[in-house]
Amino acid sequence: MSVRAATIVLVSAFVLVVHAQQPPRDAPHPTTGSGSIRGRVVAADTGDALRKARIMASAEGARVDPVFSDADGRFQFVNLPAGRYVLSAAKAGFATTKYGARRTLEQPIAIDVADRAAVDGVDIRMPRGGVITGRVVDDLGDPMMLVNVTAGRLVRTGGRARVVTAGSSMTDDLGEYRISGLTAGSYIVSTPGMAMVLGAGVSSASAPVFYPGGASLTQAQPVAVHAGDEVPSIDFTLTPQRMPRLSVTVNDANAAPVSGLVFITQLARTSFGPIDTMQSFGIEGGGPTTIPQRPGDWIFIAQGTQGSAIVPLVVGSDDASLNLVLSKGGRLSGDVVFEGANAAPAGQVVLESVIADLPADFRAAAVVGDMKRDRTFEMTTLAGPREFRLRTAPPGWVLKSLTVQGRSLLDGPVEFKGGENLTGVQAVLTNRRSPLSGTVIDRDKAPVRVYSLLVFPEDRTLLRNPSRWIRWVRPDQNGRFLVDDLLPGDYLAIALDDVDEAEWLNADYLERMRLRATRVTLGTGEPQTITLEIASTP
Amino acid sequence: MTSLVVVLFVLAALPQAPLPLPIGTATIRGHVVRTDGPPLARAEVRLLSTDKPGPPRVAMTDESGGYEFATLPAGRYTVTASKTGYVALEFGQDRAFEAGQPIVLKARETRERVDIALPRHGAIMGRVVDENGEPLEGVSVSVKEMRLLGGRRQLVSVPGVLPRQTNELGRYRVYGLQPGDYVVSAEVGQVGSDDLPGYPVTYFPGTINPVEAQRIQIGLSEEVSSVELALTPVRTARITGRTFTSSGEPFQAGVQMRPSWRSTGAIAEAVGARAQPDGGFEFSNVPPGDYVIQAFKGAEIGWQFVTVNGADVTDLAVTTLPGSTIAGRVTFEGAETPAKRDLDIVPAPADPDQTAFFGTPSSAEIHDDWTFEITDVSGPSRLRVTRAPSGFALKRVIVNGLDATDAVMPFGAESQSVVDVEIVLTREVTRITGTLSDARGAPAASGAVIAFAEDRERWYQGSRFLSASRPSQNGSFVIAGLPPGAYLVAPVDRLPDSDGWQDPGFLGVLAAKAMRVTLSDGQQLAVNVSVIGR
Repeated sequence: MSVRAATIVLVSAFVLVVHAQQPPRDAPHPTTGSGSIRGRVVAADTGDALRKARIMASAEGARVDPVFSDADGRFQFVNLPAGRYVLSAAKAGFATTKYGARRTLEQPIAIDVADRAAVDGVDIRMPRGGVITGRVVDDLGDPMMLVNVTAGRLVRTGGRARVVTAGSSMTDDLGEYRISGLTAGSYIVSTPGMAMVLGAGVSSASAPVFYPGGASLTQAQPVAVHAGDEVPSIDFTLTPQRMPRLSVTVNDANAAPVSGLVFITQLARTSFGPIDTMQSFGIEGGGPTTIPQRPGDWIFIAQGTQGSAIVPLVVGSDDASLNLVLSKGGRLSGDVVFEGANAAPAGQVVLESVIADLPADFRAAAVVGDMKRDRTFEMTTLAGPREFRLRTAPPGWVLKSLTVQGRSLLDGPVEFKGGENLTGVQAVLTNRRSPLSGTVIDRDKAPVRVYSLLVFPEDRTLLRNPSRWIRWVRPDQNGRFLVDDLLPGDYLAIALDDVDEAEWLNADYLERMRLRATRVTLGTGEPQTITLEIASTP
Repeated sequence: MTSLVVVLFVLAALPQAPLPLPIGTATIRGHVVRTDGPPLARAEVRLLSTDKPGPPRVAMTDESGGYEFATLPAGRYTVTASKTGYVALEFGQDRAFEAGQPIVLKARETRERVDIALPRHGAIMGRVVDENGEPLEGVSVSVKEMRLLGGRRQLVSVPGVLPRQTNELGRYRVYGLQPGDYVVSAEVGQVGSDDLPGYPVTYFPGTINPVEAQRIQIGLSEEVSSVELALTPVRTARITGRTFTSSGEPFQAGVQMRPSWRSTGAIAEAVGARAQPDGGFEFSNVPPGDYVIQAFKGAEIGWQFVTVNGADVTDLAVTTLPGSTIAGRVTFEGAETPAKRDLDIVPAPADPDQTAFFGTPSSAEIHDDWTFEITDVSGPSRLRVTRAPSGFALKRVIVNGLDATDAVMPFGAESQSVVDVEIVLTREVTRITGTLSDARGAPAASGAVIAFAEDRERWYQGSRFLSASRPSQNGSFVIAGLPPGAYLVAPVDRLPDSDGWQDPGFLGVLAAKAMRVTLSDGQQLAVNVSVIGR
């Protein structure tokens, strides 16, 4: 306990409110039209019709009710407004399939429905789902209930390996789980850290386990799953670990211990992205307070009356200490410029800043800056490593640049220790995007209808920000591709049979494409149409 | 403007340092095992003193299932073992609902082999398929018990037993079950959901009426498999209508619907409707059946019956009633007026369908001069005295000069108010006393005695003509306050529920082995009741 008799209030795990990142909202789409899509759902291996498959059609901004296939596997969507639709089919015993996507993480093919057009022959071939099943027991061999076992695909982004969850299942009273509906591929199967009660008043936790039994992703052995197969006995044994102890102190900017209650939240930065249940606790009187701490890659967020602090810390198996310095945080202010427009378009503009290096949909400790009438904006209480992005904008407008004294704030984390005052920040919004469309041919000039297109910037430094600059696009049902959300600049475009879904966001993978890619300059506003020759997969 | 994400959390206090426990010299030791033999490690064992108040001591069994409580003062203790996945039992308890065996310790005594065998919970497993025999994935399977609550059969969730979803083979496993009789149901989406492909909630093996469900009996640690439910899609319908006040004006009310008790004999959950400001409402995806719709706003409430058989029902009108008033006075026959107003008069609903879906009827406001009134009464009801001053019981209810004791009266409209009500209480209270003995003639410590009117018309929930009593330790029991008349008296092993024993079906079976007695006004009757050996 603390030397100053600080009371510690241990807060049990809770769920942080997580918001999906909204793309800048577009104008609302009409809800009905007279377009239609018709097709059939069949089993990929036998070609047999599948009835009672649930098919969903989604287009940006449009909400379509799902339909079910009939006894012949036929389905139809009617009264559709014009748009580009992605179809997805689901049925028990089969892997949920998006039209045009042959694997879980492959991009699908969009169905382009023009006004009043009828698109027929959209056949969805569903592979039988693979299953991974097994049992989770504790170190004494007793079954462990309510353990959430996940199976996911490995993806590398910017040098860091992440697992994208493909399916999960919770163990029952026998400790058994069953993850089904998986497409063929290799999966990392793992369990999260679990609380374990060892004796009256004695609790411990197990560390996350990656099959077959390692504690980190590097020790994981992927499990191969084929369509329709059941892979049994992927078992786990959870062993309680002694938890290292973390000693936490909270000081103010003058290195004096703070008074009052400070709330501290921890996020675990795991290979699955931050988990949304985490530990929180409160400290009075600045501590030091010692708590049991699960090993891992953590981010601590402290909030008190004196300000806030955000500090990453990796905790291994040894005891550790953490000193949090609260500050009022940095301040950033400036104005919004609408490129080319004389009057600001109608609609709100909101910028936001989140903790850097977390998945896009995790808005932890977010700070927003609303644009005022005079087009100025301000953000305060910025602490820790931060990223900036556009949260809300009038339809069609995107963030082109965010700079202060010529330095871009969009190319990597910006560290705030407190007390910074960045003025004269300029946020440039543009609605002049140059759509790039076109078709692909082969060596004999014959059209190629099914392919993947990769577009990435020529400037290698921009690859640090993949979501802004790299696109993997599939054509529509007519073999036509469209890229309409890239900023002006110099790009390289390459059409391929197939793209490695684990590697396409990595600089070294793209490096191998450079020599065979075609240079394309996206200007401002004018649409471009090109024809590319398909390159062989490296 | 800046803001921080608001973080929601639950504050829990750290366990306080325990109060110092009294120190003694005695010890209790034992093992916790599974009923099939192997030791049970990491089971929680609680020691509670029955003669001195205080917090329990808690220990955890080690790898051999062993535990120990030392430095205990002399006294009387109960020892209970529990572990997730197992039925918690006290030392000496063979079955749930039975008494355990407390341990009496002397100073410096060491009691060994205080062993407890825990049975695993039971489970129900099976499959859910559609009308083509194909598995249905993601169906929510619930296991519930049919209970009599407030005179109506209701499906009640079992504590600790959660609904489970079927996997891609259509298979499910519901676990954590104590011995009992269960109803298994499957639900695909919900009534009112756009996504429902026409499947209603279905009860094993394949009926939409819960009363027709085949019950699954689970014994101790029993696992029943192959409980397969076949779902049949039905043509669902849409019900649209409007709610009106008693003066005929449309208004936006809370609108709820549920299957009618008259047709199913069981009450399911109420489903809400989308209601518009102009009083319009809509229920979508309604499977065939008989329903009752309730509209309410404040004290205004009204019901409308509707039968659905696949075709849409449009323009349904539901009119609410403002509620009636019941007013009158309490008189005491042949006795002095008691000083305290320990009295509750309640309008007990007589028709489960025409009863407010939520809440209970309010009791009368009783004044110093023993006049009373009850306002906002709706639905057919009987006037009941649920609590009377000590030594008194209800003799008669007189409404407008006529005997209305146990009579069902309609309420809801203002014209149905009754303001000349006399509630007559009397000191001449009947008493049936006796002893309950087991087959060998010794006083039975467990079980109960039920007295019920011979007249089956009197077998309804809350009837004055039904009463039950649990015997005390020496087997003696008292049943007081029954109105004069002919009765049947019978013993039972245990009372099924709070008022579950008031089920006419249950009483009908009991009547065959009951003893017949007659009670006149204020009669004190002594009987001996024995339990036929098990």
